[in-house]
Amino acid sequence: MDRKKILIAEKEPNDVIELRKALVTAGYEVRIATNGAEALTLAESWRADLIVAEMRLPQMDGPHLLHDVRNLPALQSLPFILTGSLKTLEERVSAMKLAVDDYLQKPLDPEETVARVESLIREAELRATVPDRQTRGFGGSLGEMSLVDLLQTLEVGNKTAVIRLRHASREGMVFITDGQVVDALLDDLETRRALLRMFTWREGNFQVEIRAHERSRAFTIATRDLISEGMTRLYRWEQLSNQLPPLQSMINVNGEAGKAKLTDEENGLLQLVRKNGSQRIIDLVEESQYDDLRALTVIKNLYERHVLKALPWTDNPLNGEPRPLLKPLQKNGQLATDLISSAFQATLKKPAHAAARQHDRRRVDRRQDDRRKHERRRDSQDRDKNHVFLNKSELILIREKLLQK
Amino acid sequence: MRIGEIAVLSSGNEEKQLFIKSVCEYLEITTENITFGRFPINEQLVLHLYGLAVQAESPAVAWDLLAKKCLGYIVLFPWQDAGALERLKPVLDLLANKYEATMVVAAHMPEGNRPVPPALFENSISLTAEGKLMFCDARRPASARKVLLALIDSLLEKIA
Repeated sequence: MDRKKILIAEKEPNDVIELRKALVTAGYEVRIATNGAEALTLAESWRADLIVAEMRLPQMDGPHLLHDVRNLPALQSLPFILTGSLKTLEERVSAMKLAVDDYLQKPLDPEETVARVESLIREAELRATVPDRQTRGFGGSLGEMSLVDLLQTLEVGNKTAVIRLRHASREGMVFITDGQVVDALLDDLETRRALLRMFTWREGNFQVEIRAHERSRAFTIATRDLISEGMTRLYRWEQLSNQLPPLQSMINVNGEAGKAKLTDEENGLLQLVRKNGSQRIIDLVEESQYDDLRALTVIKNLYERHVLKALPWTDNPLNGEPRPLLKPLQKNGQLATDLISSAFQATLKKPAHAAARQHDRRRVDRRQDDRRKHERRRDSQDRDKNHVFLNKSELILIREKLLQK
Repeated sequence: MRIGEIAVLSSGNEEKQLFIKSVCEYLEITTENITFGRFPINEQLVLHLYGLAVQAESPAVAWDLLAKKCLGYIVLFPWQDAGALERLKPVLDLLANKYEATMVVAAHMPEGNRPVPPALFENSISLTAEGKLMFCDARRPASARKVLLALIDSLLEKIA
């Protein structure tokens, strides 16, 4: 396998002897340029895979080198690390504006720098193998974000999008243009009924695709009114649900109930239960020919009159229940957090290079652990000499001040 | 003089500016994507708030500059913009994985707007060991200070 090429731009080569040694040991090919212009020429002709450049370089400083690199089509996505010893606010502010991949404060720690180089090289390789996504969007569980929440979010954001909802074996679609619901599809249901049916889906998942579509407006009713109707239905659904065992519970006809007097609707539903045997309440609702709220009302009436009985239900946390993380929000009636939650989850996952060999991964993990230890050690040293890390009593003072205001 | 530095990161200029102005009462420096405000605690202690707009085209900016010195981070995004959080993901990733930083993620949403019930403006919710989630109205000083308070509480928990 070709060795990756690292170009170091540093006016004092003696300052980077240790870094060079560490990079070579880690398997990289290294060259050093002593000014910005030379670094730019070498980056192109030598086809460097990454540049580590000092802020203050002769002829062309680090930010100018970065600017020129980003303006060359062949080099514009080249990973670029700036190094320096910036002290003033102005310096920090101007460095913030640079399109740099990483910044390292001098003096450089060779081990830490190698870890950063490895990480950026891997990211660049990953970028090269993953094509850009054509469709932007987000997805999640309907238990955490209902259709009402999705419509509200897209309405406020004035988005054009397609929402796909999956519930049991059914799949529905809702088409949004500039935040307004224009059409909905579910089996062969009429547009409005299709949407109303999906409002009460609290199991399953959704996918929002932020993209244009070709559906024209099939709804005559304003989206705000649809959302309002959806909220009412959701509220009513939850009221009914609270009067029943969990909707994932199995239900069957109670053989001891005797011959109760039943309406046609109730008889129709019972026939379905008799035909299918024990089944989940939620599945019974889906299979019935009635509107979902009506079906749940009938089930509730039959259950209260002991014509239907629920089988013992085990509290399986994965059985449609929200993750514990999101329960506080749900308790407060807030359902729209999946997007944030998934973003947080992403922060806990390290990007893994598909092609990385296992021993490579272990080596990088070890390095990352070492780097973290090193950073913690250095941070704790900083804390002793640096005024910016405050102690407990100072934090308490800040807290009191904030509470006073 | 003792100084504590806090970075306020947002997907656009507006949220971090509103936030820092709400906490500090006025802004000392405002450039295209940097905002700076000072929040004096007493004669010996002051908080410096650096507001940084995270550019979509260059998410991996030189966070080291702040990471080595900041007490913690407040990450703001407008609730109604589904793409904003997506743009901030690289920053969240960096803060959580590289720096193990203390942070509060706050969804900016003017109060009264659905779907967030008022009670959620009062409390933060722990999502990870280092991160909390809140809703806030960055225009309102009381609401912005609650986010800052959540961050200070996290720092106190960390050193307890």
